[in-house]
Amino acid sequence: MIPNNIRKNKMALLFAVIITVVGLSILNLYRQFDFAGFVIGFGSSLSAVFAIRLFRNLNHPEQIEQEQIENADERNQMIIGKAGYANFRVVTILIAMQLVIYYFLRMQIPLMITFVVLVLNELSFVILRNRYEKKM
Amino acid sequence: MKNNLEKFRKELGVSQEELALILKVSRQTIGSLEKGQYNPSILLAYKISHYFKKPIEEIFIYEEGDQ
Repeated sequence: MIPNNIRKNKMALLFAVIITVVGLSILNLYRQFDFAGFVIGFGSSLSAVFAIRLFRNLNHPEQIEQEQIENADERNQMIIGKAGYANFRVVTILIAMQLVIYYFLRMQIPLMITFVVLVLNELSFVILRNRYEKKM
Repeated sequence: MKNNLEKFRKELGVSQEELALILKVSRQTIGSLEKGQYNPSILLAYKISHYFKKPIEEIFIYEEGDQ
């Protein structure tokens, strides 16, 4: 059976490669170099990082075990949960601040997009909370 | 919550790293438990109790007002 962290790294690598391919497709189709360049750069950096992690893990079984322990560690999970919730609150405040700035700058479209992002952010939190409430 | 984890661990001559590996938690978790900064889940408390062959209440001491 493939350990969880290797599976995660494989999935992450696949995701990063897909981002790179999307960037290359944008470059080929629309010739919007700046944006495509950013996406390709981002995708390739992620691919490199996850490829290194994947091969490093495959060569050292003891590191795999240690990483699995770190991932499953109940204190680490609690820390991630608390930090994640605090981060959600911070992000909500930042999006709200952005909303106010766009309002005073009279930027209608960014204001609407930011508002949708704020609603989606809150909505995703409610959905995920309900999902975990049913599980526990 | 106070506990006698460090005392029992030292009695057995086991390092924090070794105990962490046996209980399948991080070394930092053992450190936090010993300092009383972190209270374990019931599952981890049972694992610890099983490993030291002592009842949970002998390892972890609950006092009124503990959170």
